[in-house]
Amino acid sequence: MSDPILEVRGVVKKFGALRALDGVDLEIPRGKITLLIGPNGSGKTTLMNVISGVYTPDEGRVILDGEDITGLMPHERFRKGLVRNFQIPRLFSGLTVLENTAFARYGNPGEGVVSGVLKKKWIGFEEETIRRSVRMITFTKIRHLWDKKPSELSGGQMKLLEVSRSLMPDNPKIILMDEPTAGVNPTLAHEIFQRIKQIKEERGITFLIVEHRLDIAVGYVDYAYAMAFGKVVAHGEPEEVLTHPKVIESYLGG
Amino acid sequence: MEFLIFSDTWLILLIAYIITTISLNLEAGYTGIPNFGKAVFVFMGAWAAQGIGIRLAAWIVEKQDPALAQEALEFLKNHLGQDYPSLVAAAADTDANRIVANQYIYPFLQDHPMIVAMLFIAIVLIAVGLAAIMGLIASYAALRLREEYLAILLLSFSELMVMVIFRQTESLNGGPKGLWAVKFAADNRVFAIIFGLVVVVLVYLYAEKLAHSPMGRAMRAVRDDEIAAGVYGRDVAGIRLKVIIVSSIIASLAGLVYIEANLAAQSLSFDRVYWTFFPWAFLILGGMANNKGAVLGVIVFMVLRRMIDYGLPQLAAGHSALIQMAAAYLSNILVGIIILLVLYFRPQGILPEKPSKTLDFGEILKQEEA
Repeated sequence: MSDPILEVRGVVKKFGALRALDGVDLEIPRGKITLLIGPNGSGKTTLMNVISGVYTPDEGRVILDGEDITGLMPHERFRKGLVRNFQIPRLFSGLTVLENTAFARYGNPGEGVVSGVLKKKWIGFEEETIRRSVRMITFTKIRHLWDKKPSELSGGQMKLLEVSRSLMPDNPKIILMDEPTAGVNPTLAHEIFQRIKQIKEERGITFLIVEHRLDIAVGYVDYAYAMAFGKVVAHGEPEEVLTHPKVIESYLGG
Repeated sequence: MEFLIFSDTWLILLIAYIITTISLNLEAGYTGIPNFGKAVFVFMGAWAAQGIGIRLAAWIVEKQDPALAQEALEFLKNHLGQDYPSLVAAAADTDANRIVANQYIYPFLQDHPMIVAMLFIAIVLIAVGLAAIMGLIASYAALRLREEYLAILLLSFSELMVMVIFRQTESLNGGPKGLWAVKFAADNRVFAIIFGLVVVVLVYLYAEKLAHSPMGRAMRAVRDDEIAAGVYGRDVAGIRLKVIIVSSIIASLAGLVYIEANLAAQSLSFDRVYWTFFPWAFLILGGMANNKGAVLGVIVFMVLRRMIDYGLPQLAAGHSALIQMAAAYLSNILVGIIILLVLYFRPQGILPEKPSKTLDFGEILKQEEA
């Protein structure tokens, strides 16, 4: 593939005797939506954690837009344009829905122990951030919960808040989404995928999406990878991958 | 000066505790940094006025009034039989410190208000600088540790500095006896109260503004989930480091207020019970991540304790000495019971954490509706 935005080369991640990732190679095409599928325990979320820097791989490299980011901390990867969300929502329990969303926009000039008390320095940025957050949670249909803490949300609403957060950062190159529509009703799930497609087309942002709801996702994605037992078993056009014998075997066998 | 049963000594302690507890709240309440080493940061403020400040003052006397310095050294030779090479050496020596401070340095400073003003600014800057350096040292290793280990490391660090190094090394701060500190006004207690109140107001306003800023939101995010905060681009170690340094600076001002009120104090006065565990108790009682709660916790705790310590013996007056003795111990027991009750029935404290909004979110929501 020519000029991928993200490359994973020979990544191995072991947990004790378990090789959760056993030599994974990926090339994520630029400006496309790539779907990552595989049965439970096939290593999809571990791969997300290795790509975003939450885990350090035992072997292999992660390359973002031509630059080796394997040794970087999660916050450094974010600043290079790599955004991710979490399969099991990791929300800030002391912040409201609106604040959780607003925090996801990086670069607030008021985030300093001195600049924080100088309201003039950050009020413009902050107001824009809050307005954008309001529009984002309006889209994800959790606006009425804006003043609620995450502990007051249902599982599906938490998921929607995760999605809201991951779409907030200013200029991401790639957004990694781990099951963005799990627990979300089908109508809204389609709307989320439509929005992702719209963002891809308008802003040229690449998406790598882990999703089990293939019936919904397949209509929106451009490319697909399938994993089983810590390895990539197939990749290519979504329709081809979904009907690939090895993929069917991995889902049915196990 | 006594009003009801509350003395000026009590008021000064209350002020110093409010400053310390607000600073602890920035770390523990908002950012989730379990600082169990508060005592050493408070102590830096005292050290700036004692071991360092008194040397600086003696050096100024030597430069400004060599005759007076000579006279002091002669006096010490005749009365103590000690031959000190300089006034600075004498001021820092536990045997001569009290005489040099009270008979020579304090009268000299009283006659030179401009020097006092400059010395005051210098000592505040030294206190703040020392605390910042201590914060840097403490956080260097600490930022890489998980919460429980961080708490233990900070506790040990504070114990090592105050209880071992400063207590054992006489040259630093007079060892177990402590040194007399620089005195900035004829009535040092009134000075300490006014200075302390100014610091309380400034520190409270600062903490409130910070809590209602994007920084306050980032601090709470780091506290709630450091991995998610990192994934959203925040340098978690950097945020913690900044908060530790600012909080340490604030805590050192509490030590400066306390030492100015008392002028002399042993290093031992800055122990873990009074300057680490008590502030934690105030914060748990008042409410974590709520600045009003932090202040209220100190006031409620201190008033209760004073009433038990002072009021009960008065009630018991005329009765047997045994009851009076028991009353003194009762305060510690009751304080312990209060903390247990709070943790059991209202673990979030008297005033729980509130969303600290940066802007009027409701208004923005209404505008976006239109």
